[in-house]
Amino acid sequence: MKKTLLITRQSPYRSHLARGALDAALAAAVFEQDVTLLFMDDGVWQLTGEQQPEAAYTKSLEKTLRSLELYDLEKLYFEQSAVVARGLNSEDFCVHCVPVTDTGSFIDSFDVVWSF
Amino acid sequence: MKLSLLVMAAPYASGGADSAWHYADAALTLGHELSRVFFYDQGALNGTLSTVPPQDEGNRTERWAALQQRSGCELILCIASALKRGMLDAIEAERYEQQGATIHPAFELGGLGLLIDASANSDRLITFGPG
Repeated sequence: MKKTLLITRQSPYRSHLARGALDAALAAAVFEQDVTLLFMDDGVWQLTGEQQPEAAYTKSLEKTLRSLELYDLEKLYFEQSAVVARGLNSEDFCVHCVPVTDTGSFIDSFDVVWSF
Repeated sequence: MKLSLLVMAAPYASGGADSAWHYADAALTLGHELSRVFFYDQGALNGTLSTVPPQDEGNRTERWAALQQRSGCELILCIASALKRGMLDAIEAERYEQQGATIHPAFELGGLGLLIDASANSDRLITFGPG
């Protein structure tokens, strides 16, 4: 089976694409694909906890992130430099997520890359 | 090579959807097979029925339709992306008691499973993002 990497790089509520990326990941999990998630660039903002989506007139991304393990989507990674650049602390993230430092060779290890 | 495209760019917003069309056109000219174009998120707007562009500009929806005729590829609008943007086929229009279809007949509504299938069963899935 192809190893798929799903890169999500949009902040959580500025557009609908962060939600779109998670929906695609869930669909892939339902179809029993081998999917890994990588949060890059502004996508790392999705990982911050205590989100209050009511103000954005939409559903909580945090809730969906917390439910990923129910779908066996447990391979979650974040780009270390993106987290440092934004002054975030990965210990505050709402889900368990592993840092990636050499992003290029990490991406290169997958057969298929979806970029959102 | 068997290709599928993922298009997340709206028409008239960025160059993304135009780039996708030109990529598909070039790939077909070079003899590649185009299996499916999956329009996701804002990309679903590419299938809207009643576009009336200025007379000195081509019609982008018809251009996709012509590509579909030429290649036999599927043009799939993500059903969730489409419905919330007011884009319905006749069946959905009836289901939600709306006036009628708002998508071009060359396009079909479909679920994310068709994107997963395109990725799994094509040699390449090429993404055209919104920016």
